Amino acid sequence: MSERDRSDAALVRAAREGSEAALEMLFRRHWPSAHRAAYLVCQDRAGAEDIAQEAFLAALRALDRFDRRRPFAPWLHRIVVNRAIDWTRMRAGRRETTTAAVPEPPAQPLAEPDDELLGALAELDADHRAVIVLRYLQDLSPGEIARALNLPRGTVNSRLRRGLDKLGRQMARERVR
Amino acid sequence: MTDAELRERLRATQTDADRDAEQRAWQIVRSAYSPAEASSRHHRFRITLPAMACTVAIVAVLLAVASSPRDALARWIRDAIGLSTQPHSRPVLGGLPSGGQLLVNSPAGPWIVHADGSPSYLGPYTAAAWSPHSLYVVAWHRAELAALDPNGRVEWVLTAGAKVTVARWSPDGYRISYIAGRSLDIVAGDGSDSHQLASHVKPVTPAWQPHTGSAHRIAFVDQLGDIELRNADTLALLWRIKPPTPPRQLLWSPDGTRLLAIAARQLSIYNTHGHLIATETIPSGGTAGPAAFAAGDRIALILHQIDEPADSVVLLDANRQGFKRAPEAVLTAPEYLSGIDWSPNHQWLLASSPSANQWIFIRVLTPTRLNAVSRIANQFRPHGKRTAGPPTLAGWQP
Repeated sequence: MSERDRSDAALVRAAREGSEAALEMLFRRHWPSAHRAAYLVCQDRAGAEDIAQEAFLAALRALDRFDRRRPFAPWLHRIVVNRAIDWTRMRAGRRETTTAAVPEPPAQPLAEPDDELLGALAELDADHRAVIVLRYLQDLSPGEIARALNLPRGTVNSRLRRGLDKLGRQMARERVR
Repeated sequence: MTDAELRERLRATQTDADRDAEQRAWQIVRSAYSPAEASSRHHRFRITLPAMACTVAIVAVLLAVASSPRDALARWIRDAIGLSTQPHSRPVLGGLPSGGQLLVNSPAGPWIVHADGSPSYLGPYTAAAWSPHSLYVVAWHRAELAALDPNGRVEWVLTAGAKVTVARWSPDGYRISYIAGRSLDIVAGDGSDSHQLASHVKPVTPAWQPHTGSAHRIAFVDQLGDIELRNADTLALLWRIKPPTPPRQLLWSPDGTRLLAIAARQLSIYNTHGHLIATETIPSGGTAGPAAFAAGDRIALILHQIDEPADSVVLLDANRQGFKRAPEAVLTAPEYLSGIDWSPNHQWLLASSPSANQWIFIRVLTPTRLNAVSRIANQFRPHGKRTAGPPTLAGWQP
């Protein structure tokens, strides 16, 4: 069986036993969704890269303790989304100092294919983005989201409902612009 | 919009830039992975028991520390992943863990320590620094600056206008900066075209910015204590910032995206435009010593305790948004630590303790490990002569 065909559990076991190839397959398999989830929650490309990378490093450090009977992806995404929420809150509370520096060049435009959706998501707060990303990008059930974010299930449902309502309204506004 | 449409649109947010991020992240994850250790942990987990006992000891020590006037300092350090006041010590440097070559500056002159631990003496210079690919060193003595090959053969010599106190090769190898007297000067890697970049600078080692293409940008501390970034060829000022406290040390992250400025009790991180990203204040009771920046956002810092004869090596993680979490102590020793450097694969740290005449190699991956080498000064005596003390670290390269 090639590495590509192996289950996450088998790759975790092989990585624990010292197979870098298995670790790379696990990384390549889950990086795109982890990075995308981080980006959709934190809305910052550099931040998303750091968050997803840090989540993989945390997962790597905890590989020995990981229960292989449980699926790998939700475990990883829980780390990613919680860190993305923390990061977003931390950034909101931080001020940059001004300097007598050369003017900063404009940020590179994000070449995203769906400005309407991203623009609307940006109007939501990180808590609402997180539940939407976990529900619709990672396909977690509300119960799984509640466990991942350490929230009551009712809170998850209400955040989902409010988040989707606001997302719908924002997208309608984006279309009007 | 239906649920299915939302799913589809969320999943369509991948760009080419994301694939670059993936590659960068994989390199860092791979460098943090040790197949041999993973295998060893998996098959022989009892080997971690001493580490657990060590952790218990660490917690006990930290609790004891936390009840003393050093509370603030103890709280600043999140936890310890390794600690030894008297690591098992060998009398002879048997080899460098993870290989590479180490440049050190002894009172008699610079030496290169090879992977097997054997030292080569470069000559009676005050100190030396590596070229980026370890093909040469730049060495200095009084007003003389010289480029040497690793066997000590002189490639060129330049006489500066005043006593040279420090020199650093640019990351691409085409320029060398050096401070002569109070002047910061630049010379090409072949010894030609020496020119002054700034007439008055503080005695802080200038830091070349990595990954700037063909541009040669260097950060330094000017006579007012401000940090300047200049193009070393055009002399153009790119930015100048006034830090709250003049820094003692400047370090670029290996990817060139962040500049770390270390003052006595404050660490500050700036982005490439000179904007402050984050600061970390060291609580009273401690001051910052030398530091080293590794790939993967890790900074190793020596923390001097003011009222106690004990120094620590702490790890901080600093990404493009700031310090990610509280510092982590990897070593606390009842002695003065004067230098710190990362191994080329960033899995080991080397701390030097002149007061104990000792080098301590610290493996930072779990399980952590400490290897100490004692009587280190005796191993750097040219022609068997007595020397005045142990050498200082000047770079561990592949």
